[in-house]
Amino acid sequence: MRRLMSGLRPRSLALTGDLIPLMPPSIVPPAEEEGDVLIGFDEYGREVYLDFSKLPNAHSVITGTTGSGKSTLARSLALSLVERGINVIFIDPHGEHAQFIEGLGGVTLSVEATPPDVLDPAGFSPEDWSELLSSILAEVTGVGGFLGSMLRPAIRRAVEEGDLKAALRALAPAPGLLEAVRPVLEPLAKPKLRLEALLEAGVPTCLVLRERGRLAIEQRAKFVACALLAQVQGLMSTKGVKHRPELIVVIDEAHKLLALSSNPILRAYQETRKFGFGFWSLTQLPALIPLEIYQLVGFSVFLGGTKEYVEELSALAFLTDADREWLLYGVRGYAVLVRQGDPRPRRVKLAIRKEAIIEQ
Amino acid sequence: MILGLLTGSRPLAEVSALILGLVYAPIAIAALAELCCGVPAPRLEKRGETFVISTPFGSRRVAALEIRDVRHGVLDLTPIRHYGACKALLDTLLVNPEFSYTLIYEKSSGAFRAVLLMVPRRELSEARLLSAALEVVKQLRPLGVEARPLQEPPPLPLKPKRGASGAFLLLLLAALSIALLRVGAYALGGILALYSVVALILACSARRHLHHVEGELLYLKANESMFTEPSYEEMYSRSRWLFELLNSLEGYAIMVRLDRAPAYVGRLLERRAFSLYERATAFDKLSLMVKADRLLNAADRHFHRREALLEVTLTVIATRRAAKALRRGFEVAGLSLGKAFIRSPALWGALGLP
Repeated sequence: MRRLMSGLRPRSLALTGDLIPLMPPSIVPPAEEEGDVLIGFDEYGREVYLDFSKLPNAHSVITGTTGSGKSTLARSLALSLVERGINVIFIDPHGEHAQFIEGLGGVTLSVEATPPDVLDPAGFSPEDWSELLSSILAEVTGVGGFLGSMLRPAIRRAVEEGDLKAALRALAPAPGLLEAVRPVLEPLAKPKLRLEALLEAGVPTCLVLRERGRLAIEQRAKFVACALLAQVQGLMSTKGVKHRPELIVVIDEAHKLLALSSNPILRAYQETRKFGFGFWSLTQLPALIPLEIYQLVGFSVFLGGTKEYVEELSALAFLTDADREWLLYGVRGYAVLVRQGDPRPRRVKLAIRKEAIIEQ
Repeated sequence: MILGLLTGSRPLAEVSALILGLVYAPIAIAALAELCCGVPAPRLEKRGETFVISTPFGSRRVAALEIRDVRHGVLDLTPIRHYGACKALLDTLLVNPEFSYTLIYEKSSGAFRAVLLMVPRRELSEARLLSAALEVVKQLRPLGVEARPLQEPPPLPLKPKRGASGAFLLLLLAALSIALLRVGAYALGGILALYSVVALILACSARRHLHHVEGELLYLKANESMFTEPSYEEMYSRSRWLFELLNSLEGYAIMVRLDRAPAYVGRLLERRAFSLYERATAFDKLSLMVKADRLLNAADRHFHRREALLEVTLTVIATRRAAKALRRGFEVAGLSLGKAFIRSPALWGALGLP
């Protein structure tokens, strides 16, 4: 019977070239993570995950033109994170995420109504902290040179005394400089929010940098955001190395902060160790972000946009022709995901959760 | 038989029918047994660290590797580098003549699995099999292929079948043959008796292996690609096309058995091409000339481009929809698939047996 089967076995001759399409490099798709946070489905319908235990850090960049769905994606992912016990804080310039955070049982805090305590060194030494604060302040207010150097002792005094008014008093002999920094510092002189307490509470938070319907000064928003992010970094670093994130800070319109040379986001990205937190930068202007960020973050998500945007993006992130086509011709919700440790970008259809969609 | 019928000689017709029946007996019996009772499929079971393929007529210990990842694939390689990667992989596999290799690609319930089955040509101990498999894992790693010993056999679309109703049908046929013999239709009755009884014995002896093939079973009918000279770009675009197809389809299992063809087959190919060419020029026949040219192309690829000559058994089990798409997809790659009349040899052959 064996011989009979052998005789009946259908066999054909073939040369190497004929079998190339049947070899594993031609057929086997890139391996995919098996769990953690679902981000979407690849073009073959397979689930695509973000496995934080395998990523070198939890930092991320999410880019896309206006209306491409960056904020919606960030909310959708944040929802999955909260369900896994990971806290999220949105640094929100416009209060766009407030409704979502409140839906999660979190709190919305307006920087205008609840000024944060920017003088808290949060894990830094008072010297380092005053150095950092004064450099941020100098950059956001555009005060440079000799005037800028005058800021350092004033801020140092404020940090030591725990009162921002001390800085304003110290700057009284330089009226021009005082005039430049007063609108930024004065509203923060009576702090009502300590970041450490907020992190300990562990509730999802939306920190609104501007009141709705009121245009507060841009400089203060930038100063507060940078100070808070530096405090997050300082506080989380004191807790030691952690391989799983405990806190994700979503920074909307991050290009405004990342363009500053003294921004703490870049410094956090440059940290090679995992300190249990991640900064997710949302931006519509990928070219304004320092190039090294794309090499440092754990993962990047590129959403669709105009031809100019996609061309610019492909030069920054080395996208292939297929990726460019995917972003250019794909409908809303099509994205390219790049995870560190995996050189092959994944073209994904994002799995956006219903709760993350906010009717405008 | 026709002669017998034309001459009106019944004995001549009967004898010729009997001879015809006996000549086609193996195929007819196998087909009848499959049709009534199910396909006697080989079973792949884990025993220790390796697997055992068992058939109704014996078993063989085999090694199986799961291909986890391919570092560089058709998506990110240039045509020439893609060809190089695939050729290196194939040549690596063919180095060890002790084994016959079967690549199994299976996709069901959204999960894609790629398995490499190593079937030894003679019985090997578990330790030797395992060390050979681990050697292959080591050899594949520099080629960017991550493999590890398989834990669970891939779920092939085969459903166990009891075959009791089929056996009853065969018994009925045997009874019918007795009736035919009684009315004097000796040849027809005899053939029917032979077919039904042997098919019944066959089905009974293979009762633990009887399966129902869920969907269609296709096999590689012809490889037309062999007689062409595909460029790197062409091979790449075929691969890309198949990649897209296989990763978007659902409900299929593709088994590709690869054996290096004996050296004489290459020489035979060339000799056949020469003899055809000589005949073509002697008789001035264009059709023969074209045929000879095609064969020469194949021989040239083997001897000059150093492409390995292989014996391939390709079997596909797929849902009707997937089978239709795969047939078209493979056609693009120059591989034409056909429906198997008797399905077990295609299955046995693809899984490396006998």
